[in-house]
Amino acid sequence: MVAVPRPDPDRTLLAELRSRVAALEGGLSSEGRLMPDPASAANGQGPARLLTGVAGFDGLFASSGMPCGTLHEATSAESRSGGALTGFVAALLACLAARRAGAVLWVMEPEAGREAGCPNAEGLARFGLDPARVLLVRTRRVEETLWAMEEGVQASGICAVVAELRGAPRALDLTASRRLLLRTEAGGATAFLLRHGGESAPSAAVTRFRIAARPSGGRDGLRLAPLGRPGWQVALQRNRDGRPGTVELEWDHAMRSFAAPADREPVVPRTGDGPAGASGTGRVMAFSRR
Amino acid sequence: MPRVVVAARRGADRIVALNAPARALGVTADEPLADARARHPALQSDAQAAGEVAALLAALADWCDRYTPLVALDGEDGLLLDITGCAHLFAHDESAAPAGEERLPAGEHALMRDCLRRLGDQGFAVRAGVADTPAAAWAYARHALARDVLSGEPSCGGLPPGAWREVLAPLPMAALRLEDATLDALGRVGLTQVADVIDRPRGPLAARFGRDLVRRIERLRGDAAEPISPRLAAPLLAADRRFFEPISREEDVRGVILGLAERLSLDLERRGEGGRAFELALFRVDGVVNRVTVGTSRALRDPARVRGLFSEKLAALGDDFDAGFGFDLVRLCVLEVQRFEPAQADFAQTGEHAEALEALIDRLGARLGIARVARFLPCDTHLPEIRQKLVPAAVVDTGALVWCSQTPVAPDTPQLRPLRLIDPPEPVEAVAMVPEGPPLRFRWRRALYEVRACEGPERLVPPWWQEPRPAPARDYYRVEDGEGRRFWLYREGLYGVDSAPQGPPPRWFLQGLYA
Repeated sequence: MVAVPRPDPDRTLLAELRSRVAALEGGLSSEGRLMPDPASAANGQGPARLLTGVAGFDGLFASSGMPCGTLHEATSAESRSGGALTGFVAALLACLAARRAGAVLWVMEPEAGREAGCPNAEGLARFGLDPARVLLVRTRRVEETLWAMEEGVQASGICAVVAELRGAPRALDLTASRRLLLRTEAGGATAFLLRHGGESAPSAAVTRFRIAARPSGGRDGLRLAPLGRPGWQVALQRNRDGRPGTVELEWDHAMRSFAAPADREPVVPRTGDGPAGASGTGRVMAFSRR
Repeated sequence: MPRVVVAARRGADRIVALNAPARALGVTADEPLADARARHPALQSDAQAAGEVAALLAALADWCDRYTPLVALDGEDGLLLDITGCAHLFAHDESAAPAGEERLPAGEHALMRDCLRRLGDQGFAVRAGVADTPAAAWAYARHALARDVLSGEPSCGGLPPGAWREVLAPLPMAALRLEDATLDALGRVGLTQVADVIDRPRGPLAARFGRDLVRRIERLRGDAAEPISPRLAAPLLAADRRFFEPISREEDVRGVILGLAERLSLDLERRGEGGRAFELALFRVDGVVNRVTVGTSRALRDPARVRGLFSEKLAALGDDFDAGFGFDLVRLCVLEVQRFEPAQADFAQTGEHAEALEALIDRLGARLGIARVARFLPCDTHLPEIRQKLVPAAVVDTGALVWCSQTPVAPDTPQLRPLRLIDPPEPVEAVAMVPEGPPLRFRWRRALYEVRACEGPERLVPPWWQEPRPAPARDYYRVEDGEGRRFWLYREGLYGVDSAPQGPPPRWFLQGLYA
């Protein structure tokens, strides 16, 4: 374990005052309004926690809530599932960015990104992550990606760092990820390793999420159902801060928060023997689930 | 070994350069190679590579930057250095002036000696002249000094202030740098020396031989200014350090940068400015000059940060950082400045964090390249592929990055735009139930996807008011396959409108991935 220095009481007080001033001014403070760790709140130690509000997800972690200020890893089985993987991380980033000031550093290799495309600002904005706060760093090699990530987690104006990698690159071995973890925990930002189509590789990251999309609608005969909210099947394959587990999550755009999926019900009422509606003509809207 | 360099000129391979043994044989420049070979079969010849001489001269001009920032090329084989105000810096380099040059100021003499010694060490044979005006220096170096530079010592000399007349007057008329036609015309009337025209009334000369002659005379006398066009723009501020023993280790260079940046920061502070672009020039002992430039996103004068940026740049060079036998001069210049007011720290530390972020942008930009650290700039268009533009974070005004992400979203508003954009859109084979309907299944990257849920169409028409006529309209669909993956597909072209009955049918493309 990394020795966490005992915080200076004066500095804690100062941080508290700063966040109160920031709250009065309507802005975000750098220390943020993250939930303090209840177990270690007494002695003021331990990382801050991110509460998603979904008990099934928060409960997987030791003191309920995903730890911030450390290194997480998210993978998808295939690179064509890059949309779901990006969505899950964008949702976490949106939660983080709503609670803390600072920019989001997004590091990727454009050549590797050609497979899964480039992050789209309007899509990120829809998740509640202001694209103006995103810095996109395009690197040429994996070594540069790791270096940029290290620089990012140590800078004070950054609240989260995302690095996209393809597969399991040789440069990211156990030593490199351990080094990255130490740097992240010494800095203040939360780091995510996004691995498209990544096989299981040794890693020092605190967690490993394996993300798959969660089907929302279903086809009823020849009639196409509308899309529901974005959802994921999140398999927490490794968790050094709790237990592994599987959970299904959805994202609520209106509330900008995670939600547990509602029970499966037919979204579109069955039409029985009647003729199918003229699908595909006119504007098709998503129906309300409730 | 007699050796010559030849180039094709006036219909023959002619000698353009030759070494001392060749000269001793009686070979002369501008002689056809065939004639010289006929007399001396052992003559070795090399063809002149195009552009190589010019590149060498340019490199030499860059090297001369160590004496003055104003270095201009003079024809194919000369350099013009404006040493006004620079010479006194070399005055401490006291060495005994040979007879005949004692009247030259000590600094100018020392500068010239130093330059010639270093060029001689590099293997160049040089003539050099110092004078009040560029024209006088040119005439002196090219016509008054010994012509044969290949034998022995480099020939050099200086005209002390105001002493040009007695030295230059007896020179041939060519020292005025006139065109051949004017020279011929002057020669026909018996004016062959500079002295013949230098003090004549200008009016008749201009009427008979043209304005050019008068202009040359005025420039030689110093009555008219002669602008020189320096190869490189003079930096706004510069600090340099010379080494008796060359340094070659990267750590040493970094230490020197810190010292130089400290000196520059004092100058910048006095001007109330900070640097936006810095240049580091490393003068290698063998005459190669390495230049490294970094830009910053805000005015900067903190020496440690300047050094940090150059450290990243040098680290990015990696193996290309070739110190050779070492650097004997390191110079740090400020190329661009901006007003820099000291800012007051606020309690919430917002300023500090903004500054830390800019420092990070600079550091990343120095190592990876400025354009590779980007921000999303919104563009006023409805076409998704050009809706966002990646602009360098170091130069963009953050006030322009308005994305309206804080507008509240009504529940169950469809998620219109994808999270990832595939650029360019990839063609897919899609099957729809009815021609203008949504896709039922499609094949993308050789995999088949069965559509289970779908929203759309959303029709986007490229700007039809522009010429030439743009691409046809697109109908976008948001689709989900059986495993929950979501894609953004569009059909390009409308049935019966864009395509003639026999023409190619509309095509399908995949442009984005949803969560």
